[in-house]
Amino acid sequence: MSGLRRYHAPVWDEPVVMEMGSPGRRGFIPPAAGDADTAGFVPDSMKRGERAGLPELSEAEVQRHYIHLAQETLGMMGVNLFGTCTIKYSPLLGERISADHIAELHPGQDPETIQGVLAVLHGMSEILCELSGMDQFVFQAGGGADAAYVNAVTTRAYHADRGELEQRNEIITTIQTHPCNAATAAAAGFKVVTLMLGEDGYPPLEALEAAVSERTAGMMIGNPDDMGIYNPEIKQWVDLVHEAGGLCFYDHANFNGAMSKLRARELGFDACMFMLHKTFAAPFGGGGPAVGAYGCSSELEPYMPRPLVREQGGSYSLEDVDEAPKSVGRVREYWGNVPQIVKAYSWVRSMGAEGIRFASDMSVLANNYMEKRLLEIPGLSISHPDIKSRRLEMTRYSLGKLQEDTGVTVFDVQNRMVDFGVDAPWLSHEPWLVPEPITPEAGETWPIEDLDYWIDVLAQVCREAYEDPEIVKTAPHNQAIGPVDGSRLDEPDQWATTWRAYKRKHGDRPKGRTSP
Amino acid sequence: MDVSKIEPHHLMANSNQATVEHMLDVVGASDVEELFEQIPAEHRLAGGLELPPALVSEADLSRHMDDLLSRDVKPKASFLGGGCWPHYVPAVVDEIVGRAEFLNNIWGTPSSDLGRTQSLFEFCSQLGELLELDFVGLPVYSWGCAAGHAMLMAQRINGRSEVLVAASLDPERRAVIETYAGLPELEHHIELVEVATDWETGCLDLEDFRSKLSDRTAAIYLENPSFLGTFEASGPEAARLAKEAGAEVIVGVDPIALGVTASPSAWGADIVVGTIQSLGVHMNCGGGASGFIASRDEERYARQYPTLCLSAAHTAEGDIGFSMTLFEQTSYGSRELGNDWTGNSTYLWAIAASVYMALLGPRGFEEIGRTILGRSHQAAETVARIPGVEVRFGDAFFKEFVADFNGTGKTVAEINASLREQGIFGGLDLSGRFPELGQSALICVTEVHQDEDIALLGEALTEAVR
Amino acid sequence: MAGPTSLRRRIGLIVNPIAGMGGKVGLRGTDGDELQRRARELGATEMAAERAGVALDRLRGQGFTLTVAGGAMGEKVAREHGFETEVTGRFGCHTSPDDTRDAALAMADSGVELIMFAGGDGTARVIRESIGRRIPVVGIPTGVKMHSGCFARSPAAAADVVAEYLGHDPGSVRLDEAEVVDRDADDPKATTTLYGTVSVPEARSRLLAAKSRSSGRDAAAMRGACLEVVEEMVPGDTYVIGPGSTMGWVRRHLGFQSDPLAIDVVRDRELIAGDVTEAELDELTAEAGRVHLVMGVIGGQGSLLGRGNQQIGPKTLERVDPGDLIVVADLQKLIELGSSPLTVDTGDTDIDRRFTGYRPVRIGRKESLIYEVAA
Ligand SMILES: Cc1ncc(COP(=O)(O)O)c(C=O)c1O
Repeated sequence: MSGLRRYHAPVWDEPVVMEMGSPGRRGFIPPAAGDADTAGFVPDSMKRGERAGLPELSEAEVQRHYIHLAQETLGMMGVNLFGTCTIKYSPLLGERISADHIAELHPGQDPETIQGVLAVLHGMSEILCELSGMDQFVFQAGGGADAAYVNAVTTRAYHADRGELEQRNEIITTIQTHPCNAATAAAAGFKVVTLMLGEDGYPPLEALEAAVSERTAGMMIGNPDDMGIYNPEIKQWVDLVHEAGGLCFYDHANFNGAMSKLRARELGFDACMFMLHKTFAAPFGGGGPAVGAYGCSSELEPYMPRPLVREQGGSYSLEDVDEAPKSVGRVREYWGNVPQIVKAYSWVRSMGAEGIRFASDMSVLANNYMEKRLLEIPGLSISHPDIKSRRLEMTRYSLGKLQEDTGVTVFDVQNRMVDFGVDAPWLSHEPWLVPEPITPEAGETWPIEDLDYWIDVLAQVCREAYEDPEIVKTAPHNQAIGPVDGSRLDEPDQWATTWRAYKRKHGDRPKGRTSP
Repeated sequence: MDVSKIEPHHLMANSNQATVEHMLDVVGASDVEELFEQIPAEHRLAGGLELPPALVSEADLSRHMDDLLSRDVKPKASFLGGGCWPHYVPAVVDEIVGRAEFLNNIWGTPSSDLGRTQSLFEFCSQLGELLELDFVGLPVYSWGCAAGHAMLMAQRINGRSEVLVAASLDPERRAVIETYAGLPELEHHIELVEVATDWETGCLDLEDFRSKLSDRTAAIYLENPSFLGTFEASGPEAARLAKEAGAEVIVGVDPIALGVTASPSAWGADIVVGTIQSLGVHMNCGGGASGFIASRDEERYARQYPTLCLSAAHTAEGDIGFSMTLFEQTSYGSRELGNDWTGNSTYLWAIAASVYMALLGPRGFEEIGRTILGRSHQAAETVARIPGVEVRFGDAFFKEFVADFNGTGKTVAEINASLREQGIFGGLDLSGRFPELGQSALICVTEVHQDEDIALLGEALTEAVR
Repeated sequence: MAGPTSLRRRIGLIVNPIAGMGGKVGLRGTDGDELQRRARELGATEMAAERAGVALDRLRGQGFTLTVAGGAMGEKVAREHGFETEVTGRFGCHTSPDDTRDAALAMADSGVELIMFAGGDGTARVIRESIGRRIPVVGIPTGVKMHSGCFARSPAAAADVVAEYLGHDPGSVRLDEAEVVDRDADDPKATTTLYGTVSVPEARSRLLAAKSRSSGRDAAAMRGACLEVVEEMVPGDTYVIGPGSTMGWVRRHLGFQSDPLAIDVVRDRELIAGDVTEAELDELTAEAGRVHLVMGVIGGQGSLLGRGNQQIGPKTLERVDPGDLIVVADLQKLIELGSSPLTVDTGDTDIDRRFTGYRPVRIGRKESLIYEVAA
């Protein structure tokens, strides 16, 4: 068929680990306890009764089980253009470096003994300051959303310190800004005021004028958004919010298109965040450990989380809350996912300023290249078709027409694309502003052959939707298992987040192909 | 961009001249610059970027990183713990989390991500066995974050807004919890009410606890073992009282202890939180931090989780797969109306923990618990024999104990400096954090510490307090 | 898909053969004999059957029993598309709203689970009058005016909603409440009027804008937003509560319920006058202190204040400071307006102008969206 790969996922029919093993088998034998009678050290009321109901397996069984599971995971082994996540190759050197140097470090060590890692953190902060114009970065946040939370609580501390927090209890955001901004603002106790898009693909200035007031604590916004649309009025936006007394935060998670092209601080922003697990090539880990690097102006620095790495005459120390009484303190224990910071640092070092500029160019070029080819696919259209200027590193498309014509949804399309060894593409954050959205992001990693392949796969799936929609609706066919019916999982008698719950609610598993 | 001058870069496949020219041609642009037309000129960065010089060769970069990080000092033995502990990580765990399919994964469909989602489900399932709880969410950033979320869950459940916490709580975790608790000027602020610690036993002061418990109490938050290593013997009584007062009982736990200690759910916990760093995750300079939230499988709790939750489900053929449940209540599903927020978290560490639990099995947990009890008590005895040094709070402790140096006339800082000179990292300095303890340190001993290490600690400490 | 239980399941189909005829010939609807006659004269064709056919084709093989209204009202098209049917009643080619009414009632009485109908707002109105919320309905968009919440985006989408419905056990499908609205076809300046609600299967994003939801995330959002409105009520101030299903939450939080069309007046969180007329409202607000207006958004066209809610007349509106107009609306409903503004059209341009501009719309507790209001 159509020259596409004859991909098929490995099928191991791997049982759930809880169903495996045999009583008495051992996979890891802890060092011996010695002679002490340890039982007496645990108060009776706290002793464990029965042993835990864990599986009993030998070492090799465990290794093979999880390797089988790894193999039953597509996980970027083909092509992955997951939008708003800036998929990049994560150089393997980083794994070696962190295993050799970081794995066994303890965050409570005396700074004298960790000058190397502190130098990396300090260096990374300087690099991000150069890229953003901010004055200081902190890496404590465990992801992008957590960095948005850092901003929410730093904003909170700033206004509280000025005695204005009770009055300033609103955070402004836009409907196209990543949901974590609104969510973390709300989690920090703020009210959320959201701006709807206007005809140009971003909210009109008048909407912001109506939103700002003496209640404004700040604005949290992404630009360009994940449709690839840049708000050219952003400077006026920042001015308006500043005039009202609010702080401005730039969600720079989608930095590829803007990196080396502009600086958040020069646009007037007080703070911003970068995702080291996206733009800076640290691996995703299937959902972390991640790093949301949060940077801010010197005016906000007293309020940002601690500890911060300080340098004096080539030696590094940690500044904690005792030296920064206005600081919000912690959003998470310790100082961040250090291995990821080290990997991001080494990525920047391998790119240099020129490489970073080049990467930005390449990712925008690749997206525009894809756009040209994708728009030839029947059933697919671009969001905001009236906007004629070129999108940045991402474009939002709609398969609304395809759905209308064929009944095939974007979820079906996702499920069918994986049949060709292509990771399911990103759709859109909630709420969907265009029907049946789909958002690929090319980035600078993937060779044009892969981009073409991805496009060819989507074209094939859309063709199938018109010619033989059942193939798409019942996909995937080439994965280890077919589509999973999740339709009733929000019902308490159905959901099962553990094997214990599964057994209780569903009894024995059905006699399917995967039953052991 | 001058296409004729570009140098292909090894991390950018299309950075060769031929491809750039081809793509420009298809796009219909003569220069990449044209593609940035949306960004107004006055927004553009004027000068260039000043970054450290590029090390494009991996060989040069490798050398640079090794040189830089070789400035870190490796000890002969370290006794630092307190929420981030040295535990042995079996080689199989490292291999699995290093697998490209897991390491580089983003998020797939239930079918294309079968292996990863199954590993995560197995994490929840095995942790559920240790905890004897049926509902476990996908992991959160850390133990402190898990405790913070659990407090907010309790507040949503009963609408109350005070949380009782023990004075002996880890200052590091406490700082996180305080951030989550918010400020009184804004919505859903939680007031943290500190319950005194009985400094004789290291446990909760039950009298004080009683006096602070009220119908304003949304939840109590205890830990077992406590930050100071002690078993919270008054936990069951405190849980009972809290329930009577209509509060939720949240208990934090280090699951490596669960082979020898009962799950808090057995003595009254409604929501159990904790770390998974001790289950096969390297300390990573604190980057091994990772937390979990678990509870009984009741809607009352399930509907308040901020985490993504993964459920077993079926395919039409009767195969088992895994899909999201309760998605609409997350920030992805409902933005600011979701429960708190979620995002990239520490999912790779959940896979590590899954492998680790499968390796250890029921007997492994029991044995490692006994080993840690044995070795930490062995170390405590050694330390207690040193003149001027006292071990506080009796022998009901796990993994960590408080060494009181007040009798030596020296500060912990001085003692630790001397230990460092002898190649040893001493315990976490508690002075300043707990004035009641004066010059004391929290010494951590796990299964990685052998007889020689403990002997070394004894000798070096003897030297240090002299 | 077609399991043994679904074989016994019954879905109804009612086609309003003249619906949609007006559009192609420049009429704004075909309600009433006179308009119908003119439409035919102008050469309009019957597109309702065609649209219903598209939906039926898509449902082929789903294995349910199709109950149809006789003749041109369903039977014909079903037969043409190869469906075996049960027929209720016989209708000729010249049909009337009464026929629709009777067919719907007969179906609901005979145990049909869900009615598909091809028509416009006028048809939806008639069906609502006939069966209310007894069984769910799904509108196949056909008419010129389809601003009611029970219409799917397209005939295909209507079929998808029904297929999804059939994919669940009877009784396990969550139902929504959808507003039925209509405009007077003869009056080019007419605004939308709310006529009540019907029941629809919950099917996020497949139904048209005017849909109002009563379950899941959006219901929670509306409940929260309305609770906040109630919590913030200033003692002594007067609150005029508008019509519609969203405003039902305000009423429930205050401890009373009324017809979705009613306008109620509240002070100190007590109902002081229910289902008021314009004159009554004018009198009440004339002597009141500060007057707040709490409104939902009516229909798929974003009608906020208009001649649709006639009880709120110019006299009352003059007493309301624009800042005291509180609007609560479902985010999805606003998104589906596709950037077109909310409208005020009271018939008095001076009054209209006072309420225009960018205004906050409450979309959840502690959560608002800035949205444009235009005259
Ligand atoms: C623009 C933007 N902001 C924030 C985030 C949240 O990042 P994380 O998932 O690391 O919390 C994302 C991730 O998808 C994003 O795309």
